[in-house]
Amino acid sequence: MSDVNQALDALSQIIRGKQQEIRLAICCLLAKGHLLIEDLPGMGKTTLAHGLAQVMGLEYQRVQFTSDLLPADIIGTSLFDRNSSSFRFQQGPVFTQLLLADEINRASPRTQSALLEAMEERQVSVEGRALSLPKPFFVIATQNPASQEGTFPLPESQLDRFLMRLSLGYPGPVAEKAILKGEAGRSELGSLKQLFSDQQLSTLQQQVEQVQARDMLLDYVMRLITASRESGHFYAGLSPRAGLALLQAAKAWALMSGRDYVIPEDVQAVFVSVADHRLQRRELGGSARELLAIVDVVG
Amino acid sequence: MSKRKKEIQPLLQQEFVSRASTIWLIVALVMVQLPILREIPIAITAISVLSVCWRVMILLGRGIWPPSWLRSLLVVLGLATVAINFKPLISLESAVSVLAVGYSLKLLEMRSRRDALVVVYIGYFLIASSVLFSQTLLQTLYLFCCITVLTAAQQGLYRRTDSIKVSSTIGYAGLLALQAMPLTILLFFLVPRIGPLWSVPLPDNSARTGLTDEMTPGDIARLSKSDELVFRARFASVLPAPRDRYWRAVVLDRFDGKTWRQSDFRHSGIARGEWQSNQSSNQLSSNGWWQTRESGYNYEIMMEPTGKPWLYTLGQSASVPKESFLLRTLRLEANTPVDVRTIYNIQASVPDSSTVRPPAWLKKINLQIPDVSNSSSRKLAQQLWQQSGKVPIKMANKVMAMFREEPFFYTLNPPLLTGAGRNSIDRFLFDSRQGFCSHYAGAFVYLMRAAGVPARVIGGYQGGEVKEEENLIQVRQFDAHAWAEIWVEGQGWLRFDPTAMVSPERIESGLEAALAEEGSFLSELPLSLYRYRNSGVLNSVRLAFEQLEYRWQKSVVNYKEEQQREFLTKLLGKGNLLQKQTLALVVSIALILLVSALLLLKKRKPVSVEQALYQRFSKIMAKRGFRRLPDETELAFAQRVISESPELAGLVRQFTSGYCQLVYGGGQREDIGRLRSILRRL
Repeated sequence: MSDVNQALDALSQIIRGKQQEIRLAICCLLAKGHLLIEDLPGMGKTTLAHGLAQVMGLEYQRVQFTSDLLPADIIGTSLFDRNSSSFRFQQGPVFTQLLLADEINRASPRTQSALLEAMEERQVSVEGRALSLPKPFFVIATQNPASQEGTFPLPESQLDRFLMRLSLGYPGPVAEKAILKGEAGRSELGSLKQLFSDQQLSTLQQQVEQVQARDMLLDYVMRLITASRESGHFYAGLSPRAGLALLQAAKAWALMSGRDYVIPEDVQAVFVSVADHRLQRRELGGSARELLAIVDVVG
Repeated sequence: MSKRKKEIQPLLQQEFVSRASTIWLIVALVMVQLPILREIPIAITAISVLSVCWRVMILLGRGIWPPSWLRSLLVVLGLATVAINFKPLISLESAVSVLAVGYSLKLLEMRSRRDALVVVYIGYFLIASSVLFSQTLLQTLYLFCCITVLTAAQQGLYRRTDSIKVSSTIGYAGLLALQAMPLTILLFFLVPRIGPLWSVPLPDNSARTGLTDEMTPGDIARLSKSDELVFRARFASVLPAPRDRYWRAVVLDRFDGKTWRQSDFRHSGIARGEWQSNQSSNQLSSNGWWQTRESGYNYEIMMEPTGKPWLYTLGQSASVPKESFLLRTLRLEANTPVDVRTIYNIQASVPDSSTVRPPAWLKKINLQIPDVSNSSSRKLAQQLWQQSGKVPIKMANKVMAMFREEPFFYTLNPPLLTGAGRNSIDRFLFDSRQGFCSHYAGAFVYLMRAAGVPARVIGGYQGGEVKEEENLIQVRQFDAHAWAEIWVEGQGWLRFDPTAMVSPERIESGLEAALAEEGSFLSELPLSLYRYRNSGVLNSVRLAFEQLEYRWQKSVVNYKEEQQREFLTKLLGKGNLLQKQTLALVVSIALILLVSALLLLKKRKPVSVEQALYQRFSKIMAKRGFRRLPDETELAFAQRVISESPELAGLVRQFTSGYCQLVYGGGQREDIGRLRSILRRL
């Protein structure tokens, strides 16, 4: 676990005062889930994604989504090779271990869904052939809040593909000053060292699967899910898939805390990030955070 | 500014009455007003209908809220209607009418939850007040439905969702109402019946159908069109034979040529002791007028309110129930008019006929006929009197024979005799010869009096429907009947029923059989269940329902101070009843609370050993003033406890980590014992 903590410390040097968010981002990676970072421009979304890729030693690609981006621009195209007189598939940026999809909500729904299919299946279909993507495959998408102009907000079914949604928020005063002094932020990315190998990462991901969740904890998770369905604050409650996602994230969090079993704290720590973007609240309805506050832990 | 607005909005939204609860309220309003519809003026009902329609239009989005001047106008109109319609102004009906107006008009300004609650509470009040008008079983069941709907409306005010799930809302409200039942029953039995501290005039009974102390031929025909219950008589042993089922009610001894009336002894100048028995209680001894002997039947009568003082007896009876007295005319009268359903007992005691001698003044009344008119009848009477050798019984039999042998007809729709003026007897005896019991009885008495035999018309009921299994006879308005009594020296007052000569079926099998050919029985009441008593299923339904209704009236509605004392003495033993009663009330309420608490606790799901462990821990902590918030995890709670009272740090930490290890980690069963010992030390 020391590796995880090292990684955490290193990233905290770059993105100051956001320890919890960085922890969640790493947790998401360990739980083999994709991450959506939603924030205003210039809040350090891209820097976080970059830093994560570097620390984890992942092969890294970045795509800036625009409204005229086509699926082929992500997946790749077949080009005619004059030497061999045949078509050759030119892999697109999606063939990488960590893909940073910047401003995903600027792209047209068609392009979005091409990426989202790759996320779900972990493979792409080109001219009838299925090409599998590298392992691990991890997408960090960023988006501006959907209220901005010229965007295509992701529909719920696609939001569901992301294990977590994070929002960084403004830095604190100390962090802000450090950024202004040039001691933190993107300029420091170059100083990051690789702390993980591919092998280490996949070992950790396997360990997550072995973390125990016993009946009493599952009861708590079920109470949370039931409450989301019955509270009346949301148009729809959490789906069974969301329940699985919540458990998976809690397991990763437990592992990061050095335990081989999940306790309610783990669930509480990841709940808002996992559940909030999957719940569509009614007017005057509560939020995932309120849901957490009303559900009894012990039962 | 906009921010403030945002803060206020949600509050307003919560306070707003939703569509669903508005619909519930309207339904409840209509249901609650139905039973009192008869008691309130039609104009008030019109205002109610107007406001309900208006509110429905608003609900449909086709109406606007009425401006305040219009609402004020409607209020003034409503109050004016009440003021005009009720004299005296202060009465039960006027109070209920004011409530009804307010109830309906409040709909038109019902926007917030507070207003809606006012509507709901007035509704409950109206439900309670409609019990003052009627207490039948059906009404009670209906009011229970009203309470359920009103409760549903009230409960809907606190529901967030907009949907009208009728079944679930009604089910829930019904459950609430049912849960209140045990307590209601308890209070019903145990709460002392205290006399009213003040009283309002009771509902006016003048409009009721029933016997009056006047009889113009045709009156009884009017009664025969009603199937309303008059009384029920329950016999101690055997039932009287059909030919003996003459229920006396009024004695009509004054005749003005047209109408038979009851003498008003109170204003006649005759000494009270002469006409009113001074026996106050239920003694059977002689009272100086005559000797009594034991004969006849023991029975109990439960009579519907009539608003008149007279009571019913089977034939002549000398038995005097409580709070009533006997008249010289052998008629029972209650001390006050019978305004509520009353039960009284009649014992087997009749005047010894050989000792019955009417005093001169009574004889005079019973011989009185108008001096002029009906000359043919007088002539006939004289003729018959001569033929029968001046023997009263022979004379009576001759008249009876005349009715039997000459072409007289029994009909509900006889030709009107009003044109005949004071010669109605002549017209009937020699001309129309069609009539109802009152015609025959009147003519018979007239002839007897004309011959000099003291005679009188008796009004009451004849027959009744027998319920064998309950030893019960039920008498309805259409059993109303009139017959005659003549006085014969040494034999007392003898009953003669001329109707029996004309239509024996009427006496033996009742009105329906007598009118079988004419087909006019209850012809104006096509829906009366009584008409269909020949259909097996319907009749058994009717009988079962009547039996239920009888039981309800007898044991529930009639459960008054005296019955309560009797019942509770039997239950709790003698002694200071009020004290015992109060004790029993308190104890049983406590018991009910206990039982419901147990039921509630039992409903909770069973807890596992681990959960029980933590519950114990929570209890110990609660005693020390620490309560876990719902979203506080075990560890966070322990942290808080430790930070606030560090002296507990060791044990709390030990327990919490041990507990978490046990339930979330791979803990062993053996750990439970260790945790228990920690709890003990805590």
